[in-house]
Amino acid sequence: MTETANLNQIAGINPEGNFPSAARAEEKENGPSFAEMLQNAFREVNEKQHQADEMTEKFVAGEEDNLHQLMIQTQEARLSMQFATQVTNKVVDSYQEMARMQI
Amino acid sequence: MSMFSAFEISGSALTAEKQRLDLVSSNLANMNTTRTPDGGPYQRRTAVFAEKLDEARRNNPGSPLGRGDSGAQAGRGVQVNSIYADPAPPRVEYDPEHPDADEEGYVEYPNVEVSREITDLITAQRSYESSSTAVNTAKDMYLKALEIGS
Repeated sequence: MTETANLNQIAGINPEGNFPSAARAEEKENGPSFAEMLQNAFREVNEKQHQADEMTEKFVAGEEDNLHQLMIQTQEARLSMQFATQVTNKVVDSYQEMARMQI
Repeated sequence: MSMFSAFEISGSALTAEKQRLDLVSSNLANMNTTRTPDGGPYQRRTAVFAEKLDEARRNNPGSPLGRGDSGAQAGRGVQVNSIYADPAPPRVEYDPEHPDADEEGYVEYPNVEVSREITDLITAQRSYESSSTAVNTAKDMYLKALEIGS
């Protein structure tokens, strides 16, 4: 993927972005926009957190007796969260890199 | 294969080993049980483990685990397929005072041997530890992956 293609994807984050609409149309054809991808990823992370919460509640209430499943679920939620944080950091980094760019 | 398949696989092993531990505990607890709902002494119980397969493997049981084959994946872990009662003959002891003694004064005790149960117990413990180590290693690997480029 070329650098310009990446730039077009980042445009998806900012709905008011001044990128030409032709690029937008092109990116729609290529599948979900970057913003949608990000949203889906965060939704999944959220889902994992909820699952872990639910499992903890069940365990405390005595409905679930597998401690290891609870620990694994919690770890999964934690790792997903850290992954999402890393992705966000990278996106913010690249955004700032572009904001500093002299035109 | 999801992102956390290693967790899923090791988690299934932990569940299976826990079940084995439960069975060993039950065997040890019922070492001297002479009465069961089915009549006769308690019978030693063991678990039969079976590989948990994913959809593709389950539908083609004969397919080789070759490279590029749909069955070349790691599977989905292990599960307790069935629990079977050991058909070995019961331990017979002479104790005419016992309420469950037969006419000749012999009592049938469960076919549970302590040494074998303890061995099973340690095996289950070690297997549990191995799976737990696998989970931790998988976690460390994911965390290492997150450090890439930072």
